[in-house]
Amino acid sequence: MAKEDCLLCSVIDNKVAARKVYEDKDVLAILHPTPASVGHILVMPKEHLAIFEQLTEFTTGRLFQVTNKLSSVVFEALQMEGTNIIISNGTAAEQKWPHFTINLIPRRSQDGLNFAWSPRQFNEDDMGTAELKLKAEAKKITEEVLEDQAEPPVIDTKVEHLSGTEEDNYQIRQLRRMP
Amino acid sequence: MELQNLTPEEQKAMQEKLKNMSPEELRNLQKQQCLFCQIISGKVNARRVYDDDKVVAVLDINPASLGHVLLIPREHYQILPQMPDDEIAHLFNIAKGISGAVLRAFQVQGTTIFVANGVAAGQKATHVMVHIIPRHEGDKAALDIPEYQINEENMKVIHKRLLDLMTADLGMMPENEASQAGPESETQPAEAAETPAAPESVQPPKTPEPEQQPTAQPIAKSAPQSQTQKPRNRKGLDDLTGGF
Repeated sequence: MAKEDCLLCSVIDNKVAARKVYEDKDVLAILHPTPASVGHILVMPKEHLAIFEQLTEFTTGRLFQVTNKLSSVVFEALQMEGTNIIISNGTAAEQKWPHFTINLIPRRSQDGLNFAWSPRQFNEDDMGTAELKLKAEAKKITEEVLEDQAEPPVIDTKVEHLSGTEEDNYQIRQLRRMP
Repeated sequence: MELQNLTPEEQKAMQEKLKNMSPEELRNLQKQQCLFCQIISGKVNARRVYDDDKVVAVLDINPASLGHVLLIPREHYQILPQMPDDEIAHLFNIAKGISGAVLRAFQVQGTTIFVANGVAAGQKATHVMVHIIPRHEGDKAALDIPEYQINEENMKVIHKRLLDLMTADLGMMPENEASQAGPESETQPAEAAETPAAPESVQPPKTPEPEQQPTAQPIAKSAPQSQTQKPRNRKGLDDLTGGF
């Protein structure tokens, strides 16, 4: 995807206005324009990357260190009682923009938000198979971390814009990992 | 957690004992009681899918979907802000690896990565955990993040409060000093018909206390840890750090 088409890249390049709360050469944090709660912050890499698996080890570390620090700041500054850190990674996870973002969502009791999922039960066979499959795939993690040459899986990050207002000025296209 | 099973006299004796313990002893006691520390040590069974010297990943026994992984640090940290920067970096790099493993293993088109700090955020256990949850198209999980409208005045107040505290604590780059208008006109989703998430209830500002010496540098990769932080009164988190 071309950077010109990415709304968040335009924010990073100061072509589109946003309320910035932190910035350094790798990372930008802004207030979410349509927040889930008071102080909902988006933390993003300045580099245009779509999904979690595409981030380098260094960028991942920086993003989460900043998020962690911001979570304490937001907690103090806005008198909140807790924070959620959520990444919606990929279309099936309702990823909103084709640019990787971490959601830092401050919480209060009875704020009307509820991320609690309904737990499901699976039988022993299913769980056993899941365990084996994951173990096998997870073996590759050690190599990835050491070499930082992860071959990210290609997943669909096509994002349909939800509101379709006239002011939206970016095209969404199917994203493929660049070799 | 075990406290409810004791008689009132036993409870009182326990409270006395706890009061007289050193922080070290208290921490050890918490670790002994912690289900996840027991999973790490092997005392309690779990389906382990990954481990290294810093973290362990197991299948969640109350999963949102099949393949839901819990990633936890070996060290008994209760909330993420307690963790030092280098461990944060490692934890989330492994989360990244596990997310990739989940995508490949179950051929799904998405994962949700979820952390809860504090009871108000839905934290259930007193041990840091990162959830990595396989997502399926249209599964309508509770994990999807709602969007609300918020008016410009409230945004301004929030922005200012954050910047005031941040300048003291984290240091800001010069570009950030001017507060800019939000892009509400460009990105208003049509479905956001709900009332704003209670910005009216934001309290009048108290003087924010800087946690460490004001610094002008951006966060360094290996910044010194906040061991000098004053203990804070966190309403929602007291439930986790105090009692059993």
